[in-house]
Amino acid sequence: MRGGWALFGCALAASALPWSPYHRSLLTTGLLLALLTASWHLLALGGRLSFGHAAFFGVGAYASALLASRAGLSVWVALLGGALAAAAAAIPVGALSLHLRGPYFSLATLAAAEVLRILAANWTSLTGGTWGLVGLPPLPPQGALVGAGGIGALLLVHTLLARSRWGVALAAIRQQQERAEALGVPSRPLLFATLLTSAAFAGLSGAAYAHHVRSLEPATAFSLLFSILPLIMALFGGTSSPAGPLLGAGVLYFLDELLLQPRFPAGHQLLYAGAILLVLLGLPEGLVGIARRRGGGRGAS
Amino acid sequence: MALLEVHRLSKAFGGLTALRAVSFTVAERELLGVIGPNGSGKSTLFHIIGGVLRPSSGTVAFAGETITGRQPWEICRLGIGRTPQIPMVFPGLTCLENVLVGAAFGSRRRRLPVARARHEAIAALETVGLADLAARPAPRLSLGQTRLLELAMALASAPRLLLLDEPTAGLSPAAVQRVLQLLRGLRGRGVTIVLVDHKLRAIADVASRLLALDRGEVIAEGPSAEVTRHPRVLEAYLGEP
Amino acid sequence: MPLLEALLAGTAQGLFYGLLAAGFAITFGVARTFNLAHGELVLLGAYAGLWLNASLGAGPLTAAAVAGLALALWAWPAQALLSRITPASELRVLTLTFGLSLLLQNLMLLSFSADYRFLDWERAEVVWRPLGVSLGAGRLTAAAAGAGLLLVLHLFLQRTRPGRALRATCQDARAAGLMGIPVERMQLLGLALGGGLAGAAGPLLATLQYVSPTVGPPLTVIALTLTIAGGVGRADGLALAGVLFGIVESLVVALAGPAWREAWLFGALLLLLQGRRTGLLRGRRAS
Repeated sequence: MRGGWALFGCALAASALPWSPYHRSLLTTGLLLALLTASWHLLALGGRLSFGHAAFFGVGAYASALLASRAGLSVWVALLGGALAAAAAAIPVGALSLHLRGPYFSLATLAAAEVLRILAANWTSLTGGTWGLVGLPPLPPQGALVGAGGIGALLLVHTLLARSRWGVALAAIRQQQERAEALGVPSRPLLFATLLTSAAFAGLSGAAYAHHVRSLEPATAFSLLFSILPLIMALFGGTSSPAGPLLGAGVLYFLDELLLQPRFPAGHQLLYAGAILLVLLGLPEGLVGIARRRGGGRGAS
Repeated sequence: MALLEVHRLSKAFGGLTALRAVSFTVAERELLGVIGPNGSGKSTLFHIIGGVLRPSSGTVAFAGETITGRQPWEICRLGIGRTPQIPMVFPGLTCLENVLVGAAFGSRRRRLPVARARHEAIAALETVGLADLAARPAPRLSLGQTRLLELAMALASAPRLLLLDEPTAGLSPAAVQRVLQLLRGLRGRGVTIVLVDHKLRAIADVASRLLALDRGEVIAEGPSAEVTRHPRVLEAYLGEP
Repeated sequence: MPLLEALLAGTAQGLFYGLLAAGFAITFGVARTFNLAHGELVLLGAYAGLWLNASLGAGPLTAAAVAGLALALWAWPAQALLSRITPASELRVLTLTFGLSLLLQNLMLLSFSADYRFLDWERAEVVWRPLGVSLGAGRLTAAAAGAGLLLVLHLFLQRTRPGRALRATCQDARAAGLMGIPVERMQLLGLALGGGLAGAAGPLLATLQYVSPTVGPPLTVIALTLTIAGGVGRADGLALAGVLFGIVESLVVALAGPAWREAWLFGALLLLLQGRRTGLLRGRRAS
């Protein structure tokens, strides 16, 4: 938990520094990806590994873009609208997936994200179809703060969970769902609430991303990449504390953008493939696990 | 008045009938033993009462209220605690945290603040004699200690009815005696217990009444001494230890 | 006539889908994981076929045979990876295959570029017209090869000793081991068959559609959907599921337009998943 707040402090400080436009843009995208990864991790606390968070990212992006460009709302209001729309989209997605466990849940979210992408591509009158939307109102200059602020709010959610009975309830569901239910843990409502919260933050991340890049098309907003990246970044950083996903997102994204992409434009995503294989084959607790072992086994959560 | 009423409960898995029109009642403060060889439908019965499985037909009523079709956590909050046949503790939590789950969520008095729940969890650990091990990770307990932990988890929700699925399976004779002693104590405190076991002698000792199942049907019911001598019970148990 | 056309074209396409799923289903049987890199294995086969075709003039069937043999070698690295993963939870293994999919996709992008390619051969133009419906030679070849390989697989699984041992391993590896079946060797055989069938499907795929390193995921999803519908360890179930899937797909395309083809694909998966409440190892409940 403390590690999480320390990283949040770094993010805030970084947002306030006078970067060049290029580096500021990188920072904004990096923080938004970290927010998406942290939102993915919230749901993972309940033992549900989503393979389809692009669904909420994409819905948030489209809702915010439409609210700002068609309805003429201010970008700040549109961002909130994007988060709410993503939470609303999580209702049918959850109804079709949360009763499933393990791999079947993951695959159902993957399929749900694809169905939403296809809807966005074919609902031409609303979304502009595969041509997408262009010329979206830009994110205000302090846009990186949206990412940092979202991360701070998510850390607050973690703190509330840790101080109430709901944190231990999510852990119980993750470890033995049937036993947790037999002991009175209302698993379905709790998982639903967790999914909705997670989706809202993912939606916020997508909404801010839309105004950051100022154009949208279904194939990028609902890209499989926005489902894979949070999964890989969170597992790489380590899921045992809120700091892990933030750390994983930061390390991988900036490594990719600053070092690999300029040198190997064609295969730079090999980094992500390598990171996930490394974690699964030799680093089961991710980066946080290394830090913990160095620190003599003290719990970071 | 009967605390638990099971009325003509049937359950079929595909073509296999696990329970066939099983009916019985459990009175308040009673300790009912359910016996029967492996595959006789005992665990299926518990899963249906606990809300894990839906019956093909029939109803279960608890304290006068029909509970068939309710979610497992709702049934727990009404006051039915359960322990599973195969221990299923939370491996990432300490003993105290394991019990805390039951104390914080299983209680009829909803919304117990965490501090109060912690208090009740410690009390439940003391009841089963595991208070010294509160901070130990759950996977580092012996089988006997794990069974006691399971009991503490179920007890932490202050249930009116406890459903125990073979709480003595795999235990040494001394540990079996400890569990049975504990059950007698709980009964003294007013908890109603339904106990499944296939060790006929051990169960007949503590139970006031027995229900014998074979291939999903009730074959005998009544005072322990009568049921253990019932010819169909002896026949079903032939060859069973 | 569009209905009849959809029916025939869908059946032909469906037989090929059955082949696409066969390797996936066998891998699932022995490794107990959905292999999310399956589509990429098919694409590796496709690129092998494209190379054979361009450099030696091989037709799709020859290319399929060679690519199948080559991809069967995948069994060794696959088994090594599976045995090294710790802790080996279902989700971690599934995530591993997700990572492999990304790895292979990017390696192919590096090696073959993102260009779309097609396997061209001299008989591709020959068209068969049963009942006034025209079917291209590429589609017929893929359907015939799919049906043939599924039949051989069916006979292997049902009639031969190693086939029966493989089925037993798929059903319950522990019990199979107790019966004296060499489980590890059976797993290797299953993985080799899985990779081989995926590889063989590749060159055929390249005669049916344009291929590029990024078209793998929908192939995996088709295989996944058919495996859930058709079951593991039975080739006839996969063939039937494939044909049904292909016919509905053709009807969707004919009635609603090609834009909705993918909606059917992922919608079908989402619906089929609704029946699966427990983990991959089907729920075993004690008495």
